Amino acid sequence: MIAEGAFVEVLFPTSEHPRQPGLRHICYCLGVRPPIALVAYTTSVPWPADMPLPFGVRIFSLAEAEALNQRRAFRLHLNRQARIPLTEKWFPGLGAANQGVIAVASSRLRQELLDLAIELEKRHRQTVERLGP
Amino acid sequence: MPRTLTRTSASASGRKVPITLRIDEARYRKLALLAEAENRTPTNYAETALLRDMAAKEEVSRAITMLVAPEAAGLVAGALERSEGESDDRYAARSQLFDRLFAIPDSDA
Repeated sequence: MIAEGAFVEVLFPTSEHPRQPGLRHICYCLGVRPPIALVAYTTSVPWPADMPLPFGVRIFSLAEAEALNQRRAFRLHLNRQARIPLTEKWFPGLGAANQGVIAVASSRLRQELLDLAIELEKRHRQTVERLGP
Repeated sequence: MPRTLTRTSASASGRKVPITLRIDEARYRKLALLAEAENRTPTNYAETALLRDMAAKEEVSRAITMLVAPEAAGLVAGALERSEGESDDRYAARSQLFDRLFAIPDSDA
């Protein structure tokens, strides 16, 4: 089910259309506050070579990806999150038996990602305090 | 001779502004092939690549990008669902994190 640790299919909004369901992506669910889920974006599209990876991006090797039922190595962008309602409009597989969940992170991985998210939020707050929202 | 693509880009108001891009023939042929592989027009491919690059640069400049679905903005979120076997300390830390993350406004608002 869709809960912390689930890798789930989401129509994650795109930069072009941030207010509507976008392309089908596998996202990582940080948790659920009913009726809203907080998910982070994943992608296998190459990152621009001349740009350093921002803090909060976790790279998954092909072996790690395969262990999570994914065919390609990918990046999890904890720094790119969406608060979306738990509806089929955003979770196309919600009506299926597995609710569109393709894998569930181990407790160790969940803890690693939680620690990363806590540090990321701290940095976000410091940036806002320094530069404004 | 360079090929020209005319494209419209969204401004802050949502209005599209046409721009002209000039590239040489060889690059245009590569662009056309790449676009065809994704069932896109060369113009749409160029726009998507540009937007992706701009989004990546924006992402580097801020710690968290938060997108909020319009329907979610008007909803009152309940208590954080507890994970199976989660300790009280961990749940408290995660609840505090969620309070803060849910307070982050929509980055594109």
